[in-house]
Parts: sequence; C-alpha cells; structure tokens
Amino acid sequence: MKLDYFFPLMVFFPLLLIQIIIVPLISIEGFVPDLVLILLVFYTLKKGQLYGTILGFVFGLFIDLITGSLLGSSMFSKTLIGFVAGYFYNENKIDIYFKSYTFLLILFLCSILDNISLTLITSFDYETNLLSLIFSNSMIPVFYTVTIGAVVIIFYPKRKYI
Amino acid sequence: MLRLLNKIWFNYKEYFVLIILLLVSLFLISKNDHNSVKNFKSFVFGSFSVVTSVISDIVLVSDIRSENERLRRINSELMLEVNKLREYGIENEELKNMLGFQDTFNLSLIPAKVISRSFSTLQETITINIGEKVGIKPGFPVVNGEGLIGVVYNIADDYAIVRTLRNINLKLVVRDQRSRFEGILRWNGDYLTVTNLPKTADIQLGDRIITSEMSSLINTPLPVGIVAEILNPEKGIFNDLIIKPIVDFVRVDNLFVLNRIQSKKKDQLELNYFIRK
Repeated sequence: MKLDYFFPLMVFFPLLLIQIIIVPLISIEGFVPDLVLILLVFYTLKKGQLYGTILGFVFGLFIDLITGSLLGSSMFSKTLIGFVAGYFYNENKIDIYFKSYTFLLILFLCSILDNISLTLITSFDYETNLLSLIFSNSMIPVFYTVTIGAVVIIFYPKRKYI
Repeated sequence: MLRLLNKIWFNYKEYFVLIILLLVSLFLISKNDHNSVKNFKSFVFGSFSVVTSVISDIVLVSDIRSENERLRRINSELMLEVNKLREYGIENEELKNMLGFQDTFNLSLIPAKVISRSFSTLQETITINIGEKVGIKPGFPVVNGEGLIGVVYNIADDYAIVRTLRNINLKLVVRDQRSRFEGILRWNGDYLTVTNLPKTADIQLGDRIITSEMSSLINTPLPVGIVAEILNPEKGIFNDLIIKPIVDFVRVDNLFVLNRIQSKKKDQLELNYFIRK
C-alpha cells in the first residue's frame, strides 16, 4: 500500500480539530463551513472515484463518532459525496481543476448534495417541510464552504502533487 | 464464469463499493440505540476529547479576560437578584409551612466547560470536559446562567456529549409559565417550535416557556425561551409556536450539569427516553 493513500487521514484529524474548536468562532448565525468536505472533494479529484467513495466513508465514520451525531448519517452523506465528486475525476485535468473555478463549482454541487442527504437522513418525519428546511439550512453553509474552498485555488502549487 | 465475474467487478466496482458502504451506513443508523454502539462511541469520543480539550484550552485562553469581565457584571446583577429571591424564599417557606407543602427540589450543579462543537446545524451537540467520573449520566440537564442548554446524551469517563436544544433528535415537554399549557418542544432546523397546541390554549406573545415537571427527562422547571410567534392562528384546530431561546447557543462556553436525585420509579418506566442504570 502506498503511504500517500493514508496522507488524507493524517490531514483529516488536525482539520477536524480545527473544525470543531476554531471554526465555530467564525460561525455566521451558527452556520459553519465544512472543511472536511473540502478535503474530501480535493482528494477525490486527485485520486479517483473509488478512493473518494471509501475516503468519504472513513471521514464520515470518524465525524459521527467524534461529534456525537447520529452514527451513519455523515457516513452516508460523505460516501455519496466521494462517489459524486469522483465523476469529475480526470487524471489529465487535475491541475486545471485546482487552478480554475471548476473546483469551486464541483465543491458547490457536492456541498449542496451533502446538506440535502444529511437533512433527509436526520430530519425525515411527516411534520417537517423538508424542502424549506434544506433551503434554509444549506445556503449559508454551502456558500461559506465554497468561499473557504477558494483557498485551495489560491494556494495550490503548480505541478506539484501532494 | 470467473472471468465474467472479474469483468463485472472491474467495470462496476465503484458502484458495488458505493452500494455496500451506503448499506453499512444505513444499517448503523438503525443500530444507534444499541448499547454496544453507544459504548463504542463513548470510547472513541472520550479518547479524541483528550486532545480536543488540550487544544481548546490553548485556543480559547484569549477569551478568558472578556469572559471574566462579563461574568463579574453578571455576578453583580445576580447578587441583587439573589437578595430579592431570598426574601421571596423566606416568604414562600413560611407560606408552604402554613399549607403543609414539602420542598421537592434536590439539585446540585456540576461546573463544566465546552471543549468542542459539532458542525451540523440539525444535530447540534457540544462536548464538555466532565464525564462519568463526576457522576453525570445520560439524560441529565445542562444549563447556564440564562437557562436550559440541552441534555447529556453520551458519556465517557472524563467527557460527555450534550445534545443542545438545537438538535432535531431532542424533544422535551415544556409549559407556558403563565397559563400552564403544555406541549412538545422540538428543533425543526430553523426554529424551536412547540407544535399541536389546541386553539383554546391561552398563549400570548412574550410568554415564558419552561420545562415541565411532566417530563421524564427534566422534571425541574428550567427556562427555555419566550414565545416569539404564534403560527396558524386563523385556521385548523392547532396552533404552533415559535420559541426564541433564552440561551445564546453560539456563545456558550461555561455551563453546569444539573445533578439531581431522580425518582427511581420514573427512571424505570419502559418508555423513558434515557433508561438510567
């Protein structure tokens, strides 16, 4: 097994610490950007669909265990995101993705899907207006995540692979 | 045959893996209430919280000065309030003695600090730096100087996860402090709501909502919020309420777990949300 396959996990834990300790300090109305999602989309676009799907599952598992949310909910949504982001994987276009706004568009799509799947899993009951809930709960975090995701474009090194 | 299977796997492996992993996720969602799953979660978040706690202390040290100032001011205000309440307490005690009532409260507060927060807007949880060692259990209410924050959900030796009121999975029996009407409080993702209140319920904007003694979780009246809006007042047979929480959940850093002696009979009820051992 190549060591670089485990590299995302080594980045994941410090990033999760930042997500649960520091990011709440810059929340807007309680909404925060999803740094783990950015990491997941980033590595899926670099390494492919199968890798992204499994990585999403592992990330989701740790998120659920560590944050105390419903076990399986983040696993489900992040697995799905790994799979969907994997559709955009193209070995010849990696640099183009990370040096253009394409990455942000993919991130935007994935972030919306993440919020929708998470909302459906955790809030499904007959009294809840799911569409309104998805809209009100998704928009700020999605745009916030995409804004933070722009950092990847700014700092992505030219022709250097992580 | 083997070649065919190989070919299918090679062409569709991403789909197979996706389906398997999604099924595992769904299976785990259905097993959330199992003790083994809960214990495993406690073990993992307990281990991770050690690191979180250290880093949280370092990061949040800059907030201490402003927090200290704010607490001093609140302390002065509370001192005045306590003086007033003491007078009422003495008067109340005398009246109770005259009527032959007994005091039913038996509470103590265990101080705690928030070390991390979840980032889900639907399932908001916070991790606090005390756990089973100091005697807290799942189901214990968590409060601060303003009111109810949430309920202890999962515990490790030194840490606990608290479901805040802004968690879609937490539902509480609450009552209007003025009119004594009761309803179920829940977070709908946008607001705290009390649903399906009969039209005849005497509710007014600005009424204070507190937890009800009827609750199997919290049987002590704790302030929750204020009625901010009454929905559907013209149609249907029910009213829904939007409640403005008293606690500012974003700014909660220091809090207390309410340690109490609970009725054993109530704890052993089959439908109790958290069966305590």
